[in-house]
Parts: sequence; C-alpha cells; structure tokens
Amino acid sequence: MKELVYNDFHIGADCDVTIVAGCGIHNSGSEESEHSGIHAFYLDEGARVKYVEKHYGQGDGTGKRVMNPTTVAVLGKNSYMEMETAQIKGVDSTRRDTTATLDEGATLIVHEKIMTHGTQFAETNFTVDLNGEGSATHVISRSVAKDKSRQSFLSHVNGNNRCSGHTECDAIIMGDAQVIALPQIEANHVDASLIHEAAIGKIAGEQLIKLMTLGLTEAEAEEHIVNGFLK
Amino acid sequence: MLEFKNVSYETPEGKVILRDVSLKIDDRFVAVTGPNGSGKSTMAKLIAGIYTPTAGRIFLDGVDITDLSITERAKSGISFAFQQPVRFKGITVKELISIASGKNISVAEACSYLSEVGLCAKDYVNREVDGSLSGGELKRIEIAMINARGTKLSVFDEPEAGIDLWSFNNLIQVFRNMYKKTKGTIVIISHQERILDIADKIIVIADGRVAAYGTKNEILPELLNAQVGCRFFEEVRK
Repeated sequence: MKELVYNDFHIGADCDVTIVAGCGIHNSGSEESEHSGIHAFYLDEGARVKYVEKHYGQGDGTGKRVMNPTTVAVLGKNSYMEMETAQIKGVDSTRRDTTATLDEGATLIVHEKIMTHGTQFAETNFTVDLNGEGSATHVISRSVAKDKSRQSFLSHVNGNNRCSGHTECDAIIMGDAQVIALPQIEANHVDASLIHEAAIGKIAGEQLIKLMTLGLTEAEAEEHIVNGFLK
Repeated sequence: MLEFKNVSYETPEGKVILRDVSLKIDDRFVAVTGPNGSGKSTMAKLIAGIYTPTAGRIFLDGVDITDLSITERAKSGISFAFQQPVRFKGITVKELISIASGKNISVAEACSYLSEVGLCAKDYVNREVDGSLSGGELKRIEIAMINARGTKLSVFDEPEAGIDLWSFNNLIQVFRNMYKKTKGTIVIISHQERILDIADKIIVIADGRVAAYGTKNEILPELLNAQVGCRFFEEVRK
C-alpha cells in the first residue's frame, strides 16, 4: 500500500505556533507499506514556528515499512522556524528531503535525530537557501547506525547574501553499519559566513570504560551513551 | 585491604611498566608518588581492572580480584577517578552522578555531592558532560562521582592535575572531608606535597618498583631532598 499526504501550513505575520506531526506505520503483512508526506510551511513576516515531527514504525510482518517525508519551508522576513525531527528504529527505509528558503533576517534551526538498526536505510537531504540579508541557519544531525543499517546525510547550505550558516553531522557507527556524511556549503556572496562539521566514529572506548568503572556492564554503558547522544 | 602479590605489567608492545610489585595497603589514606612514567597510573588501572597483570595477583579484602572485569571490580567496591575525565555528549552531570550512586538521585542529593567539590549545583546539575565544561570542572565532577559511589576503595589518579591554584586549597579540604566522612580507603596518585602531607602513608614508585613505603615523616624529607634531574646530564657533567 502506498499513500501520499499533503499538509500546507500558512503562518500569519507575528504568529507564534507549535505544530506537531506524528506519522506511524503498522505493517503486519508481507507487502510493502509506504507512507509519504509533503509538508509545506509558509511563514509571513515575524512569524515563529516550532515544528516537531516524530516517525514511528511497527508490525511483525515481513513487509517493509517505508516513510518518505518531504518538508518545504518558505521563511519570510524576520521569521523564525525551529524543526525537530526524530526517527528512532522501526522504519525500514526512509528518504527525507527538506528544502528551505530564507528571506531577510529569517532564521531556521533544524535538529534531526535518527537511529537505524537491522538492514534499515535512512537518507537525509537538506537544501537551505540563505537569500535574505542577515538570514541564518543551523542544521544539526545526530544519528546512530547499528547492525547492518545504512545512513546518508547530505546538506547543502547556500549563502546568497550576507548571512550565516552552520551544518553539522555527528554520527555513532556500530556493528557493520555504514554512514555517509556530506555537509556542503556554498558561498555566493562575499559576506556569507558558512561552517560545516562532520564526525563519524564508534563509541569511544574510554566512555565505555568510565561507565563500567561506575558499575555498568558494557551493554548497559553502550545503551546509556547512545540514549544520551540521541536525547 | 588491597594487596599486590608479585604483580608485573608489560604493555602489548613489550615495554615493562611494573616489575614484581608486592605491597599491602591497609591504611585509610595512602598517597602514591614517583617520577612521570614510573608506573603509578598503570598501578591504578590494574586496581580498577582496566589493565590485567602479566604476572602476579591482586587481592581486595583477601579475595583474589585479578580475573574480575572492570564492572565486577566496580561492584565489589572499587572506584576509580580518571586523570583525564571522559566527556559524554548528551549525558548530564546529574545523570552521571545517578549512575555512580546506583540510583536515580534527586536534585538535592546531586547538589550535596557537587557542593562538596566546590561547584554550585544550580549551574551544573543539568549541564551536559561535554566539551563545554573546562578540565577543572570535569575533574571536580569526577571526584563528585566517586563520592556518590561511596565504595570501600577509591583510587584517584592525579586529582590535582588541571585544577587551578586558587581552587587547590578546596581540593585538599575535599579529601580531608572524604577522609572524615567515609570509612573507605583512599588511594591518591599525586605529585603534590600538600596532598602527600595529609596521607597516612606514602608509596614511592620508581622505574616500575616500590622504591619506598612509609609514613610521611619517613618518606617526605628524603623525597624533598632527593636530587631529581637528568641522569644523562649528571653523567656528562662528571
């Protein structure tokens, strides 16, 4: 089964709203189940939005649970948007596309948290166009890839005016997982100030040892580290 | 009581760090000192189970703990404060102290442990133990964790390293209080005369061996008068 959901949000000038979107797939059959959504946000001047997106999959069937969310954000002058997305286990395959354009003085903050296990695959693509003078963005992704899962993180921040942009990907890799991180920054203006960071690594041995000296087993220590990292 | 019986440690690369060390620690407050590279930190890691001796046995209260894992040693009553504390992204100070104390502690309890080490809990309790904390703050939190564990043996690897001079008096007071309040044994690896001065006994480790072991009156005068320099320089000067 495949479905595609459209949600458009128009946020008026100087409004301050919180929007929570929860998508879940329960697939107990053997056929693939795909849920895809296109969420668009249009922020007028001075509007503030907090957007919380939670994704979840369950079901003991052999059918794949596929979720492909697309988010489009158009930020007007001096508007502010904070986006929190979390996808912890459960979803077999996901492709997350987010595009944003920012006008003068607008700010976009993105916090993404992903955990994959088994043979799951998660792909994230961010494209942020900093068009307005004084616009700013922080795109921060923290992820944990376990077992044989694969993750791909691509972000593309374009500085087209005097602006500031920061994109960061921090991933813990475990088992036989694979993580690709490509935080790309593109300055098309002399006053664009852009920074990118990416770090992928396994859990530091000294972190495990420290928690074990406090009485935790290695498995318990690992769980604490992963939960803290994705909190 | 902690006992080393003929303990040796050699790195996987074949470098001998400790050579046939036998000693008993049965005083409440023992300081371990000696030149850099003499094997002091290795001794601490052997106690905590982070390293396993290549020869010899280690006993805690008469029980052979040589083959116990780090976790098992922690559960049998050993705490270890790292020389270089570890940072954790996303784990707060309160969570770490909770893990250390073995239960979910209240903010008030976290406060009492933090104020013991001179930190105002309000500023720290919900802070993440990450790169935003300075080395000195991390060292204090490390000590607070050991206090929260309250085990029968606490080993501190150079607790003064990274702590500024202005805070050093407080640090001495922290250990004085710990000595008074707990019934456990405190083993501190230190280069600081003022820490050695409050110890019941001092162990001097040099070149992987116990060079001296006694009260501060026996050890300190000799230690302070010792010519510590470059052997090569001394030889070429002759």
